Amino acid sequence: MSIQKHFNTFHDAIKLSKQDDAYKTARERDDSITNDVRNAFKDAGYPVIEDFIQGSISTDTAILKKSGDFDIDRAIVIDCDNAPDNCVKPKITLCENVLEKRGFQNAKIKKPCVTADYKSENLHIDFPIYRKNGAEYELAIGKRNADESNRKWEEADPRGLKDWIKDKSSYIGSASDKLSQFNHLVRYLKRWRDEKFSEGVAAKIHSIGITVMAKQCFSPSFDSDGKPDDLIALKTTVSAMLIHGYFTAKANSQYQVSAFLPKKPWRDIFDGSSVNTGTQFRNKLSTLEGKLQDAISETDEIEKCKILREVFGDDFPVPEKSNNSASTRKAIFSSSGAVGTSQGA
Amino acid sequence: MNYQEIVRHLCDQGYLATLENVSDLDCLVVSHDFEGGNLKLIHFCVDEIDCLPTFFLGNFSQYGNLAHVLPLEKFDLGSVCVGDQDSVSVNFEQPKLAFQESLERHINLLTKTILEVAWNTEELLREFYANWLRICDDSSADFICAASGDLEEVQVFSPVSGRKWGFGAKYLGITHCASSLAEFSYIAQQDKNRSIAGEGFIIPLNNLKPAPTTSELLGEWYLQTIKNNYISSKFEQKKGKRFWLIFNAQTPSGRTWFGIQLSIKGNGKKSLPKNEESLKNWSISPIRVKIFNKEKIMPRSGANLGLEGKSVLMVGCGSVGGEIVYKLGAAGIGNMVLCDPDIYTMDNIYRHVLSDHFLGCNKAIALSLELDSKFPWIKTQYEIRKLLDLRNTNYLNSFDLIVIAIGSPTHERLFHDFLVQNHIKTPVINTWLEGYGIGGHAVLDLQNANGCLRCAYVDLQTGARGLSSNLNFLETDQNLTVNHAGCGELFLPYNSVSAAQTALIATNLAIGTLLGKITSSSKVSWKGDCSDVVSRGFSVTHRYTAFDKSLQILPLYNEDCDICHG
Repeated sequence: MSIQKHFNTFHDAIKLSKQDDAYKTARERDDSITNDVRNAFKDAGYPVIEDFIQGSISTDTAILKKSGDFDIDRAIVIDCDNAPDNCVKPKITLCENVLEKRGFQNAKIKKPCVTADYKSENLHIDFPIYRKNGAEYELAIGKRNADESNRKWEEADPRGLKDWIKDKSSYIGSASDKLSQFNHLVRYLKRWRDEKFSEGVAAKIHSIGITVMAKQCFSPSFDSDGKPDDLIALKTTVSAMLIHGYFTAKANSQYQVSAFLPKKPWRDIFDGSSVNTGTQFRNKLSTLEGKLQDAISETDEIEKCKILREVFGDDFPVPEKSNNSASTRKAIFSSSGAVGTSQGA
Repeated sequence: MNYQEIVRHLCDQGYLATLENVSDLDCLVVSHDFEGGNLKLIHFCVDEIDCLPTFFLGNFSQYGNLAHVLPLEKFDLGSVCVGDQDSVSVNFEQPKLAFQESLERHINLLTKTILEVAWNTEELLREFYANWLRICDDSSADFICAASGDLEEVQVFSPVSGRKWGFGAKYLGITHCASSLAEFSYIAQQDKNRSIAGEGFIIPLNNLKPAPTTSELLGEWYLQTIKNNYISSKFEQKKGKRFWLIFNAQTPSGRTWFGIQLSIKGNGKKSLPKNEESLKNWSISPIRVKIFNKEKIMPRSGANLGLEGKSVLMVGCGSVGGEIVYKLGAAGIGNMVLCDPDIYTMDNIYRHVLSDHFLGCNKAIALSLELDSKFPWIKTQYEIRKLLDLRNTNYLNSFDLIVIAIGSPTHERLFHDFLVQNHIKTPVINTWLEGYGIGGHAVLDLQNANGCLRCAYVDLQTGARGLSSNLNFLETDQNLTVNHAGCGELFLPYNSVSAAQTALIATNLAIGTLLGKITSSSKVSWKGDCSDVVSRGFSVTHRYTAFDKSLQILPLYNEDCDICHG
C-alpha cells in the first residue's frame, strides 16, 4: 500500500466536516441557539441580517479534537444602521437573553466573541458579532464591562478570510485536488500540535495561525500521474514555514512568533504571544521537519508509518505487514454516484 | 551556373576537365585515366543543380554490360546511376563541391564495374528487375500474377475494357496452384467479367542471365535463357498464337518476377520458339510482372506476416474504432470481428474514416466491407451488438486481442468486472479520447499480469475505485458536451486528428502485444494543445500539466488497485 493511502486513512480518522454524524448534534444545538439569537436580537431592535459558520468547519480544515470536543464559530451579523454604538450591548443581549435563559451557566463575554459550552455534549460555541455596512463587516470587540476605550467596532473581513483560505486560483491543474491537499496538511498540522504541545501551549498556537502560515507556504506535491504525495507536500510546506519569517530569533536561542491576518484587520494572529510559545513552536516545527524527512528517506513501509505515528499519534495507521506481499485488499468504492467524464471515442 | 569556376575547381583537384560542345549542347567533359583504360564523363550543362550533377559515360558501347549503367538511346552514352537522388542532400550553394562529389562517385562506381567482373555480374542480377523495366513499353498494361512460383501453366485474363487504374486495368495471370489461395478469391472479386487473353507458363529459372540492355537484345536473351533452364516438354509442345512466359528467379535482391509475351506473326499456331530461326515467326516483348501473393505484397507494402494468423475483436466502430481497424488491417491482422450497434450518419462524416456511401449503414458492416476491399488477405465479420452483450467466456477467449473504443467508462468497467470474474485470458485494450483535442489514451490489460483497467481508474486522491480514468487530462464534472438539438444530440467535440492520434497509440499497443513485444500491462497517452479547453473555461488535471511522456508506453499498475491485489 502506498504511504499516501496511510495518510488518507489518517486524514479520514481526524477530519471533521459538516456532514459528519459526530457533528450532527452540535449542528442541531447551534441551529437552535441561533434561532433564539435571531428572536432576541429582533426584540432588542437590531435584527440579525445574516449568520454563517466561520472558522475551520467553513474552510474544510477542522479536526476532531482528541478530547472529543467540538467547536463551532457562528457569526451573527446585524445591520450597521440598527447596531448600537456600544458594541458590547448585543453581546450582553446574547449572553443574558439567550444563553443564560437556556441554562448556560458558563456563558462568557470575551473580547472578540461570546462563548458557550454544552458540557454534556462536549460542544463549545463561539458567537462573534458583526455589524455590516454595505459589504463591510466590523467585529464587536470588548469584554462585558469594557469602557469606551476598550471596546470598538473593528474592521474585519470574515468572508474574505474564508475565501482567501479556500482560494485555488493559483493552483494550475487539478486545482481542487491541490486545495484538498492543503486542507489535509492543515489538519495534519493541527493534530501534530495537539499531540506535541501541552494543552496550555497548544491553545496559544492558534488554528488560524497554522492555517495562514500553511496557506502562505503551501507547496503542493503530486506525482506526474496526479497522485498526491502528502508526505512530501507537508515536508516542503513545513520547511517553508520555518524560513518564511514567522519566527524572529531572540536571545538564548529563543523565538518570537508572529503571523498577520491576510485580510482586515490585518492584525498579528500571535499578538501577545510569549517567547516560550514562539520557541516551542519553532523548535517542534523544526523537529517535525526532520521527522518528515526521516519518513521520506525510510524505504520500509512499516518503519515509515512508525515514524509518522510518532509525529501524529495513534490515529496514524501502522500496518502489521508490508503491502509488498500479495495480500488481498478490500475494495474501496467511490463515494460519488456518478461523475461527468471527458471520455469519448 | 558558373561552369568556368567549376572547371577551375575540378582542375585544381587534379581532374582533366574542359568545357566543350557536344551535339550543339554545352557540356562539361572530364577525362579520367584508370588502370587499364580511360573514362570520358560528360555532363550536360544546366541552369541550376537540383540533384547530384549527372555525368554520362562516353563511348559506352566499348564497355559491354555494366551494372548501374544504362544506354542512352541514339547516343553512345551510358546513363550512370550513382544512388538514389532523393536520399542525397546537395550543396547547391557550392556547386563546385557538388560536382566534385558527384564526379568521385561516378568514377568510383564505374572503375569498380569495369575492373571487378564478378561484382559487376552480381550487381547486374541484383538490379535485374530495374533493368528489365527499362526495356518494357511504358504504355503496356502490367501483368498481375497470382502464383507460387513453381513450374506450371497460367491462365491469362485481359484487362477490363475502359479501366485506367486498379486491378481491372492490368492483365491477370492465375495458376492452378493459385486458385486455392486466398488471393485468388480476392482478385476474382475485383473483376468477374474479364475475357481470357490466352495462356502461359510460370517458369522458375535457376540460371539467370543479366537483363538485356535493349529490347533488340531480348530475343537473344530469351533463346539463351530457355536453353540454359528446364522447361517442361509439355509446355514446349504446346501450340498457340500467344504465350505469356512468366519467369521467376532468385537474385541478390530476392525472388524476382518478370516476363515476356510471344505473339505469332501471321496465322496459325506454333509451339514455343527454341532457336533463332523459329523465333523469327514471333514478336517478342518484355512485360512487367507484379507478383500477387501475401509473402511478397504484405511485407513490401508495410504489413507484418506474423499478424496474419491473429484474431482481433474490435468493439466500437466510431471515429477511433474506425481508424484502429484500418491500421490493424494495414498492419496485417488476418481476422477481425467488428462490433457496433450504431448507424453511420451525416454527423459522423468529417471525423470518421467511412465515406458517405455508407450513410445509413451499420458502422460495423460498413467497415467490414471497406476492410475486405482494401486489404487482400483479411477476413472480417461483424456483430451488431453492444459491448455488454458480448459477455460470453468462450467467445471472448477465442480472440488473441480485444480492443474497446466506445468511450463509455461505465460499460467498460462493467465489462472488465466480467473479464476478471470469469478469468478471461484474452488481452484487452481500452482506448478513448477527450474532447477539444486535449489528448487520448490507451490501456493494455494483460490478464494474469500486474496492472488492469481499474488501475487506470483508481481515484488518486483517495485510493478508491474511481468512476473516471486517472489518465484523463480534463477534470471531471465539467459540462464538456455540446448540444445543438436537444437530448440525444449531445456530442463531445473533437476532430479526426484526435481520433487518428488516439487510434495510433492504441494500434501500436495492439501490434506490440500481438507480436509478443509488449509483455506487461501498459498505458499510453498523447497530449494535445489546451488552448481550446482554456478558452472555453474548462479545467485540466494535474496530470495534463505534468505530463511529458506522450506516446511512451508506461506501466499500468497502480499499487492502490484492489483488483490487482484481490
